[in-house]
Amino acid sequence: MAKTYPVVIVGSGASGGMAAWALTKAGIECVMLEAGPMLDLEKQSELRPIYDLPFRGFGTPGRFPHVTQASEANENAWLDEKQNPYSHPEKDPYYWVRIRMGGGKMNRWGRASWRLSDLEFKAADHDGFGENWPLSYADLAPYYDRVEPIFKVQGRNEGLPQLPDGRLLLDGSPESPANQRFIDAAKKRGIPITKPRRATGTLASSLNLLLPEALATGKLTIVPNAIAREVSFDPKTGLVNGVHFVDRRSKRDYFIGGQNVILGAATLESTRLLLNSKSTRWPNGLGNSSGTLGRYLFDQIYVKNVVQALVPEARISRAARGVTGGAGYIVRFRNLKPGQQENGFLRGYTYDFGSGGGINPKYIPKYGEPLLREVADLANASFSLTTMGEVLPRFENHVRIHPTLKDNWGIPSLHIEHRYTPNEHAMAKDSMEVASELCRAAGFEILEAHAQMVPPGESIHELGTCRMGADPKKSMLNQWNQSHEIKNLFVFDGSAFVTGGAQNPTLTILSLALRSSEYIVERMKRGDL
Amino acid sequence: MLRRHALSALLATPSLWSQDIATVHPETVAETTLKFFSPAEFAALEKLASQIIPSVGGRAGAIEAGAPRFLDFLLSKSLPKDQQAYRAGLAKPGNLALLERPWTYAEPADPQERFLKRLKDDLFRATANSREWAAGRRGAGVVSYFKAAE
Repeated sequence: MAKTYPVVIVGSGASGGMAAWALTKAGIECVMLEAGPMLDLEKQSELRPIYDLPFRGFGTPGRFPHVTQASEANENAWLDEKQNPYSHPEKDPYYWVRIRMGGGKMNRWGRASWRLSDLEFKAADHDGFGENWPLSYADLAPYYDRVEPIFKVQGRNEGLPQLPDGRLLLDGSPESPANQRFIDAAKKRGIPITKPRRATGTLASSLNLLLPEALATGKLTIVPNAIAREVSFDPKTGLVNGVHFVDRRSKRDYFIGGQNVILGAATLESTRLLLNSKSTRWPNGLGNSSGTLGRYLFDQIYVKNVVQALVPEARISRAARGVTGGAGYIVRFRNLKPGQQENGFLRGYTYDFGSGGGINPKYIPKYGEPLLREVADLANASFSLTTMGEVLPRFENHVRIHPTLKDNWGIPSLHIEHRYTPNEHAMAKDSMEVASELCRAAGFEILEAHAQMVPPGESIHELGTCRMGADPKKSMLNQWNQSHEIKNLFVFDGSAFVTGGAQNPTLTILSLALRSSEYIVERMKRGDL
Repeated sequence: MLRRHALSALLATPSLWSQDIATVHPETVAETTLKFFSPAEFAALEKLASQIIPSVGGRAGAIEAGAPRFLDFLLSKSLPKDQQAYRAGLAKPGNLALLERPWTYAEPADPQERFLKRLKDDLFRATANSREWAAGRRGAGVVSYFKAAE
């Protein structure tokens, strides 16, 4: 039977899951629409020999032109691109990587959990580019403090202003000799390094850490396979009053009523939903008087294996043991001073690095028996780094509704335009040079160094397109992820970001969702919502 | 059960599909007919395969692993650009010494070098992911497979 819920939440990943967790614990009844199925991930997976897969692990040819993360073993976990098409300019590919199932992309995330700092929240004050967030690090810090323990984030605090300390499980593991040499080389150049900072546990997802507790309150109802297609707006009240959705399997159309609507469908899906929610009052998308909906799309540059090196004494033939192993993180070190623009770019970058394990044979310039002997000799000798860098949010990088293309459920698809600019290219080049210098100083042998960024989107850190801001003329949302124009409409996911730094965004999405949920609780108690 | 014991038990079983009735994968008893390569192309591919990934120290090489016949199947299902790369490459494969040029992120400008490097990658993968390569190695080549949802 149809009913109107106090809150409708769209999406069950990081932002939707946290909204459900915080609101139901405060006694507020919520209904959650999840576009995919709710799965028992353990029952969904089984061990299989790779040689029994139809394509020996090469993957089904042509199935995922834009998802480099898809392997033949996991290709059923990613959203089907043929049923869910989108477009981009032919010369500017955009790799949109999506997952639809309970827990969303948190079922496959890399779990890196870094805080943003005021270098990001107040970026415009720092170097004059773009806009500040309408909140500061001090506003969000108490929420980071509460989210990190839920996800059992492990790492090491360094007391650095550009990477605020967290409430962490201490990673006190010793460094391998190879990593220690690298760390020493970096320290000599004033480049800070810390341990990886990651959520721990067998699964670190909304699916096991947020949704069960929300369900235990008796206040959460989850509707799986519910693909939201439009947020409903009532012109008489000036408020939203529910969500239209399509059942994934039957394609039957439904409407569910809500006194408040929270979108947490993931960055580009929430924006697509708002752009598709057109009316006489909102011809360009719901709550979009500013014209910023769909604009200021950004992510993070990735230069995968910016340097692939080998640790010479780790060759098996030298009978070396325990020389390599372990991972680390180079903290942003560029442009920390106000107004600084080192080497021709604004903002900064970080690296993940790790040693140990084998080297992909493609890097070894040999064939035949010499190749196979070298592969075996280098089975534990790899050292490599990957660059992650800040992308400047620009008006021209945007998404819009495609005039004709629709998904399998008849919902208009997105057209995505995102190009990297000289700022990102200069940053990638600098990161290659610095990584090469550090590897040489550590005595490693460089097999390849390059500055080729992966296409926009591939990092799966797409952000912006429904950003926050102090000025309603330049933004969609206020500091509470609340529409400037429709007070009972909220957007909780990464689309609200103003800047993103080089840090993986999930921890910040979770913390913002917790903060804004508590704002909603307070306003509902006061009768404002 | 310890993880390594579980993996050993898994690999000792002739097939994962049935716990009770022993079956085999068709690859172990039958051969596929060529669907993509011409006989001349296939002969050229087998020659290159034996040179690029030979059998060393009793370990299966590309030929023992059936890599050329697997690549015929893979290419028969592949996109036209990949099919074309193989056709053109096998027609004029070039000197294997091109594989001794350092690897670069940017694709090599020389089409023969480009093809041979791709062939090396594909042969290595098709060999390393074969049952023959995994034979005798405990736990080799086992992946966590995510089943399709309804």
